[in-house]
Amino acid sequence: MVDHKWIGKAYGPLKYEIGREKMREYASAAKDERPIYHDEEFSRGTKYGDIIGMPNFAAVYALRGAGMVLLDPEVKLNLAMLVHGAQEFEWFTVVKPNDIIVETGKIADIYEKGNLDFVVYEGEAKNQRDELVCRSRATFIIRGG
Amino acid sequence: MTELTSLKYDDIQVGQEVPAFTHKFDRMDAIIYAGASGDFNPIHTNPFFAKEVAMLPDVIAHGLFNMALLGKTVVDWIGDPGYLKKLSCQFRGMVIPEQTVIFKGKVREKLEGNLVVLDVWAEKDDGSEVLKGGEATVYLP
Repeated sequence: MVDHKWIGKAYGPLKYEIGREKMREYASAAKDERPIYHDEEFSRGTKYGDIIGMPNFAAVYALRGAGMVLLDPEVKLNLAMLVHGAQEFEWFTVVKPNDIIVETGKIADIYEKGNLDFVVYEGEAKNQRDELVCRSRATFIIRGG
Repeated sequence: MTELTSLKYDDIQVGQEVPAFTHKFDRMDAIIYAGASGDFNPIHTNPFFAKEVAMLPDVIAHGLFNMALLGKTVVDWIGDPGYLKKLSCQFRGMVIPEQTVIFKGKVREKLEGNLVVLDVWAEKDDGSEVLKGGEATVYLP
């Protein structure tokens, strides 16, 4: 069982600089070759003016706090028995190359159901203009309690 | 100016289906996704660890990889990635190499402010669940 005293434990601020090739690498890994993610010339002719990050690229720039929870030596989650149970993303604006993202997050909840432990992380990512970019909520499940 | 979206809010009907996207998962997908995402949990990449330590049938696809393909499925339909406002899902079924997953969506309701809410999910070609209870909210002009 995961100790409930870690509910509220905060992570960040975590700074992440959006890299052009990293955006492309993520989109390609997610089987998405649409030009707005890859092709500057095409993108210049759109309202965005440059390539934009695939929305799910938030898994990289907005979930680093969740990664810290998984490896937190105080919280001590059993990674071999851990699976990602659920995920929510809410987007408020797009990301472009060289954006500086700052993520802050916390363990929002810890609870049990049967022999499963649930750990919930909530994070918020803002850009260099202090605009909210993405809110994320990740639920992890540890089998075997 | 190149428009990315050809759909119009007024033309959308409740119950309308999003064109499905089908993908056969390959173990290289998980290795490439690990590098792109930074999630190097060996249950996704190391068959020995997956089977002998984590007691899984084989390496499994990252949940966030499956979710990214679900996001792609919605964006394929709406055209403009900036119009995807929310995406959520539960990771239910594990996907092992050579299994085929079908990503689907259907319009649940139309809201004020040109927002459309969809049920989104993914299932294997044998009908078993992969992503369940998903919801996407999109803006359409």
